[in-house]
Amino acid sequence: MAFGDPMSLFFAVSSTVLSVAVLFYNEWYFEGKERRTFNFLTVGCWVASIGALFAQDWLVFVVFVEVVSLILWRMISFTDTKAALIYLLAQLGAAGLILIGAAGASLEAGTMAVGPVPSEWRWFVLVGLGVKTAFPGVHFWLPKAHSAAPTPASALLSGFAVKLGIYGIARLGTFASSPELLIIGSVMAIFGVLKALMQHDAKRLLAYHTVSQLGYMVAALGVGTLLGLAGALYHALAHALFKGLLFLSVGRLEKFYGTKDLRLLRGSAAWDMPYTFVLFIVGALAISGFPGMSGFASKVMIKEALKEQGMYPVYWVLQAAGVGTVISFCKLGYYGFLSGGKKGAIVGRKEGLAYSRGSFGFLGMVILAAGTVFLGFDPEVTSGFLKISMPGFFGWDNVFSSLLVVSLGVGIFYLVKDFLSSGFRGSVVLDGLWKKIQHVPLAVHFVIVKMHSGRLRFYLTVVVFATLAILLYLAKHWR
Amino acid sequence: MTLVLAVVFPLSCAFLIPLLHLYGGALLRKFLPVMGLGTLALTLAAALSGFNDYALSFFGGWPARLGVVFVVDSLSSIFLILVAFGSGISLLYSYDRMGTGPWRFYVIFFLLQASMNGVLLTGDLFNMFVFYEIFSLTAYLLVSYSLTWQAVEAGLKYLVMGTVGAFFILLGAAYAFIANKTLNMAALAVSLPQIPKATLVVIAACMVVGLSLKAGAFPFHFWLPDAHSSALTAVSALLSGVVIKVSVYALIRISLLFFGDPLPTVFDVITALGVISLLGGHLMAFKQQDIKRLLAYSTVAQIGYIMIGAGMGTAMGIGAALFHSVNHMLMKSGLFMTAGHLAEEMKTRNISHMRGLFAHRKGLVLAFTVLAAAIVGVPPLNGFMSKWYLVMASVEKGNLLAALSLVFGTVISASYYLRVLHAFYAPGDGPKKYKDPRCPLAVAVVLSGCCVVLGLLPFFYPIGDIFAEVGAKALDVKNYVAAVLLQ
Repeated sequence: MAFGDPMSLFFAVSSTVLSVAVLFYNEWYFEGKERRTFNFLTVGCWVASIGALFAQDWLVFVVFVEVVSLILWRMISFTDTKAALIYLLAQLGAAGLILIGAAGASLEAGTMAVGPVPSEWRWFVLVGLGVKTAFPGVHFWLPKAHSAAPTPASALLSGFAVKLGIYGIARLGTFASSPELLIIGSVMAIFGVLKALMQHDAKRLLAYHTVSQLGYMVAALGVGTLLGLAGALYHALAHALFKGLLFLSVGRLEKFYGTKDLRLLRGSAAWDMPYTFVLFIVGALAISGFPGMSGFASKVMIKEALKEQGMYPVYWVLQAAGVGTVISFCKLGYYGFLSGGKKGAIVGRKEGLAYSRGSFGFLGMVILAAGTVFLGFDPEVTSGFLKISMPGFFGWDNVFSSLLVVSLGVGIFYLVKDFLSSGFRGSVVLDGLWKKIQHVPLAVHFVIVKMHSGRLRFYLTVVVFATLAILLYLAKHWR
Repeated sequence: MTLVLAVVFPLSCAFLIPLLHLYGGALLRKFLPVMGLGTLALTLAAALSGFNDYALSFFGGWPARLGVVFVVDSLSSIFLILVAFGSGISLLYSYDRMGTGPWRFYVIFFLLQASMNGVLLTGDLFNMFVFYEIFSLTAYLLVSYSLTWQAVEAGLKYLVMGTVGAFFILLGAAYAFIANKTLNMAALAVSLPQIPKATLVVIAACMVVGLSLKAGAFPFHFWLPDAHSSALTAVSALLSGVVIKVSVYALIRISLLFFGDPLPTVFDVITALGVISLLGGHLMAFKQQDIKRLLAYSTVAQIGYIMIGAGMGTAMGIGAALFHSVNHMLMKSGLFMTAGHLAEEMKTRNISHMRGLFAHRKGLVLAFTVLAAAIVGVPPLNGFMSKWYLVMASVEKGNLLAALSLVFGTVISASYYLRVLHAFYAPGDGPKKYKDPRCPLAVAVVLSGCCVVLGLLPFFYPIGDIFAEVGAKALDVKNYVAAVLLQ
């Protein structure tokens, strides 16, 4: 592996920063016994994720990743047991697939060290990790879990639970370009954005953006160069920070107004909670790739890697996804914070920073924002850490293209904002997959239930016919 | 000598209990623990005597070809250990719950214990059938012991189905005898490859069907949910944890000895039955409302796991099946005991009515949680490890269907065990009277502790290799034959 331990270390840093921020945020978000439980779970989640990142073989990796999933399941089930169940089942299935791949690797190559997996077994591991990374088609658990979970859990989910999947794919990939990852990544990027534009639930919107941003990382991993890998890692770190920040600020919004529905929010949060608004802007600029924010640097690296290999279709798809991202964050910012104007502001109610608890929660967000801005202003820190020479982050063409994307997005939003405000949802493609899957075992279940009629003669008939079937099979297939 | 004693001691206990009862209950109360401990010790001694090398015991000094022989190798020794501890736990539980009041119960119990040891020890096919008959009759009686109409009906169903199974076994044994003029299993292992294939196919079909009926594999499982759910709590734990494992042993032993070389397609049949049981059992448990029936269907599914491992016919597969058998004994005994106890206290077996238990029976519910997580296959627990070995074994054999169905089973079982746990942890009225359930709690804690330990141990100590070695020894038919016939 190119980076060996730096890669693990890199992800470990991002999960540590996020966990600390979330621990601070818990102080504000929860009360009493629940806070203690969540602090405990957050620490457990952090420990398990470190374990997964430094695991030597796939088995141990899966064990730790499943511990992370279990802890997050517990967190989600505080607010929504159904979403938590779907989340857990998806993760268990994914773990099983990874294990099949690992078993194949250990039998074929004699080792199941975390790294490339031979031939066809690679697909099992890839699909298993794909469920965790929300590849299109198997992403059905993600929007549900992210939006239903308590905000700190959403931040953790988006911040490093899905990143463990990215980490696995990064370890899995050899340095050959893989067109399948490029295709999957671009589909994810554009699909996530399109779905996000249709949401009016603020956290669901963020959840679909997680899908979209994961698409950037998957595409970058598919490039197959060192630069692409570095870009993916950088974006993973940046995304952990700014998406955590965005989730936490939307969580503040939710706590303050009692809703996260963009149609119901008063749209005057900018006056009610100015500090949160500023932090939200930082996060939104970062995810849009505005120069000087972490998202800019990582996206530049990814695009540079794509251009270097001449993969222009993917490049343009990602640019289009970038425009969509800008539009949808304009929507979130406008309807969440600005549309109501100053007159909508609640007179006399302040953001509550005076209380020590309120400022604690705030501190968690400030950490993330500081990280985002720091990474944005000094992008060479990370690329230096990954031993990549990537001069000219702030070259005029990079800045120009990102500014173009941002202004295009803002312009389009200005034109269509009334259309977006109605919270139209469009068709629910693929998200109902869970419900559709459920029908298959249920149908079989009903057939089998019918067999349990309680009549002995029927049971004995079944025994006789099964015996005959076995006899015939054996008679037909003897050597 | 220990081998014979492991059968004779529980047998004589069963005859002594009525006598002791005649002399008054106090005597029985004192002697029952001694009998239980004695059986445990003798079974373990028999197991350990043959763990590394073959231990043999010839009846009346006749050579194996003519007389009856008891053989212990590592395969049967693993199952003897399983039986010793499983029925020990069950005896402890019933002694604590019922005292020595129902003395007839203990008579049947020790008869069952003796016959299970007999099946595991014997090296003679017809002798095995005889022990199987004792074993089945006592199991029928134990199921219907509570004499509620459900229990009687379940016992009757078990009787009819079980007799059909026994006749299949008898038929197989008879054909084997006609074809080879011997009943010794080692001698049969030598001569069966020479008989016409058609005869061998009939013997194989009879044996596989009879034994999987006794083990409760899917299309033959219809007696199992009734029998395991309507019996007393301790009996349910014994039946699900231990009794069906004896049939699993017989299936592994007979299929390896008789059909391993001449008819390898038998293993495909066993694998197929395993996959079908896994899917069918899990899907039946999926929507089950009665908690003990849910656990019983889960047993059908777990038998499927074990049969998948056994059907691989490789050292790794048999090792995984053995490990899963041991784990399933721990998990399912614990689950039946905790759930049965909670259901008795709540006076309902309906899951949606068993609410609010966490507030009132914290220890039992926590132990149940650990055990359920283990049986689902949540990572650091033993169920996960044995499923991992099973996945390894099926991948090694190139049987991806089995591996995928193992994954699918995990997902389904997580969904239904979570349904139970949601009910337990939901707020609601717990049991009215607070009575400290000391013994069930202790048993549940010990069993769940074993689950955690066995789950973590493979990361530090190669348990899988030990079991795979046992599997390799069981596959080594030549060695078995040499040990028995050349003695």
